[in-house]
Amino acid sequence: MKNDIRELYRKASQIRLDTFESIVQAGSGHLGGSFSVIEILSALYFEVMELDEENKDNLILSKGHGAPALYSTLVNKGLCERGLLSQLRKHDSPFQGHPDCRKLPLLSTSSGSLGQGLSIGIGMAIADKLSNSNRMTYVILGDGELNEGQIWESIMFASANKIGNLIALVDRNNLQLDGRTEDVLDMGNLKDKWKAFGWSVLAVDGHRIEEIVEAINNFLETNSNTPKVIICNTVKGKGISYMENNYLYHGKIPSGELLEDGRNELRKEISKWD
Amino acid sequence: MGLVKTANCIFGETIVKEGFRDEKIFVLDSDVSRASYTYLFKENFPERFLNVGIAEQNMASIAAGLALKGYKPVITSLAKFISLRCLDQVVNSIAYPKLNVLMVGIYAGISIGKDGATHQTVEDIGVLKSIPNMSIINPCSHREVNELVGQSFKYQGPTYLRLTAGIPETQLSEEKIEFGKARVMTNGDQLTVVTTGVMTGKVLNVIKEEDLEEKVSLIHTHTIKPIDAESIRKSARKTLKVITIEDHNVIGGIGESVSSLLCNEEGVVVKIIGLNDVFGCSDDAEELYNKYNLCEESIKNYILQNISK
Repeated sequence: MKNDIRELYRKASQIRLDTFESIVQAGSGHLGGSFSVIEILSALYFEVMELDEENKDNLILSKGHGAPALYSTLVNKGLCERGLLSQLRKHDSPFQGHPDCRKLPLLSTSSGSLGQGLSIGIGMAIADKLSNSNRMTYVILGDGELNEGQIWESIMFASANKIGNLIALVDRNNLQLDGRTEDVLDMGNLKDKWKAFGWSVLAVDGHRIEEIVEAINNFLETNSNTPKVIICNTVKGKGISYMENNYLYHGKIPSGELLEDGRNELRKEISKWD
Repeated sequence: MGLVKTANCIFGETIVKEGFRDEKIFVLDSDVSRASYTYLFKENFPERFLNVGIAEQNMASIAAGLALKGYKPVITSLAKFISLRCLDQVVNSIAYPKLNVLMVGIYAGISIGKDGATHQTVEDIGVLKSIPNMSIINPCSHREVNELVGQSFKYQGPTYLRLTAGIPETQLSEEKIEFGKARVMTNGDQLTVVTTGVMTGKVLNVIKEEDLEEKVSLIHTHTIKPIDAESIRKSARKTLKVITIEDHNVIGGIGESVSSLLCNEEGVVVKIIGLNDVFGCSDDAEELYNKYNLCEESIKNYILQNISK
């Protein structure tokens, strides 16, 4: 690990509080799916990804509704002004409701309509291979997003065409807007499915940064031509007890006492790492 | 007499020519490369060609990824499927970030004939012109295919190339071919006829056979979006009577575009000719043009009803 692990968790906790405050201030946004993806983003931005412009790795947040977590990560990494967090979901703000690469050019692409990010990532990975670049492409997918047919088109394509410079990370929080993923559309054993489609597969605890980093590093060291996926087992709403595993917090904003309780839990988590 | 090449073949040859000129052009096909002639590109540039299989949505978004990295992707399928099957991908992955992707739809309109309604396209113009950042080109001749494909690569943003079987090899006019500019094929003073794509040749045949060059202004809009408002307004102000003719649903087609830009012009009347909100059906393309009153005999009647002897 490049960074002190306690410092990484402290940063992740700060990102979670920033995500919470920006969504509360905007009055809308996706708390549950933003909270579940924070350690994945932290691992990528603080430990794994090359961010230097010349060799910059590609990151696509295909589950674009996790945008507030991405913006808070960029702020805590020092890539965006902190003041922008209060501009979330406002017109002309770089921090649009879903990622917009024209308003925020440091993003690899725009996203929001589910199912498209893996294909876009494949296109970027092909372009990098053509120019003999060592850049990697990382695509973060939601598990509900895997319902989309296009995802399976792209999974088939990536293995058939040996897109080895691509790592997908599935935010496996087991919930989607209408309820449990198994109840909405049971996708069976995801690991086996990806394997059957010719991908290298690992599974980790998606809230343990060191596990995510280790899995990515393992994949990077293999240098194989197979595309790679990490199933990150996460908790939707992670960090605020009444939101955890509660599908109602897909897009709901707490108020009154719940708002204060949530804020206090997140602050307490930060102080734990001091 | 040698075999006449098809418009698809001209397209295939054109992108090979462009491929030699510009190493950023990358072609993706969805299992129609024998019909779209993109196999010619594959033969010349195998490293810049991919057949994604029958998976148009994946193809459109892969193109977005390539475009984000500075490539100029061309994606190919039947007009029906490139305009509809991957529409959300085109809107959100390509048009919203204003990426340079050329979408090529072959066998547009009713020109595919006997394959019937599921493979005919009477809604593509209406659907695609309502997308911000999108350009649409609909050539009337082989020469226009050649010229406009090359020019489209110079514009920032996505372009839809609507390729219709049966457009003539002949040049039709000496008028300059310029992306975004209509071509004034004849310059008469009684009636303006605005056409696009395959219909232009049919209308021009009627005008020439009936010796109507001095009575009818034929404005050919190979670029449907952005439409050349100035040329159309100028002609409409002169003739006051305007007919639009297209192989597309009258709802959403060029007739509506022309009407909207002429709606404040005093004394101008617009009549829209096309498919009257119906799907096509199976038959030879020429029989279908007869059935839907888009054949030269019908066109002659529309024109003669609107000019004085």
